[in-house]
Amino acid sequence: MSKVNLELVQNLYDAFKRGDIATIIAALTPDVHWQVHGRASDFPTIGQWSGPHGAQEFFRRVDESLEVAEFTPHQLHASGDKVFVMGHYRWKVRRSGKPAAAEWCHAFTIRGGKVAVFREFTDTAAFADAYRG
Amino acid sequence: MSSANVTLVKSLYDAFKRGDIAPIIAVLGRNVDWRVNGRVKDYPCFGTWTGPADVTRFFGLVAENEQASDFSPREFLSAGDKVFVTGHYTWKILKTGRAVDSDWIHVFTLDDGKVTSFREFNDTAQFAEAYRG
Repeated sequence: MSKVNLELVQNLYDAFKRGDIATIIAALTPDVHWQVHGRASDFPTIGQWSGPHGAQEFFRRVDESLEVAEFTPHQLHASGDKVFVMGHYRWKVRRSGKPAAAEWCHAFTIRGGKVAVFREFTDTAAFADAYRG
Repeated sequence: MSSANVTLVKSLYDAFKRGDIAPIIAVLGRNVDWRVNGRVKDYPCFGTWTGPADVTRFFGLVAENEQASDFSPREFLSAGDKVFVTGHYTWKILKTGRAVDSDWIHVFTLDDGKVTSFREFNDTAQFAEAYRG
């Protein structure tokens, strides 16, 4: 299962990099829990969303708030039903024009070949700062 | 190795909760790369420390800057040479008396019973704000 899970997650990053959000949404369970850890008051893409519609709203906010300059998953690690990924990204925050760069860690839980939980940990202070302008 | 790694990492949390830093320092590799994600300008406990002596300095900064009211590792997951730990903590920031309440993820890399790298990801915006006061 681990290898299949790694392939699934790798496919989702590839889809994200080509702007193919539909592929990501199609790979979510109906009750997916999608969370970027932190306070929603700090940045529009920080918070929790439920279900594929919720995740779609998350990606709409990403597009509305951020322009990607670099998005690099470094290495994928599988453990049981989970896949952990650490990486780095740089964005331009559209509201202020300021950059936000951070190391991040993603934790996926896979159930029946679909993503049941997604968690992102990032440098929320860098985003909050760039958003305030 | 995997279950030995999890046992070792669990013992480090137990030591930390007793305020016993020596057993943690004793299992660090000579060139351990210890990082708390975030910008050092935002909070004194964000940054990179290299080697056991430097990590001792990190724990000195922790004691100087914050007091834990809850420190709860929840899940330990082993993947290859890594152990991923998710959890939650609440701190009082001593400079301002303000509280921080955050989920976190820790990533340990182990080699032959020694910790060669540590990464922490948390809600850096809360620490930055509580420290600014």
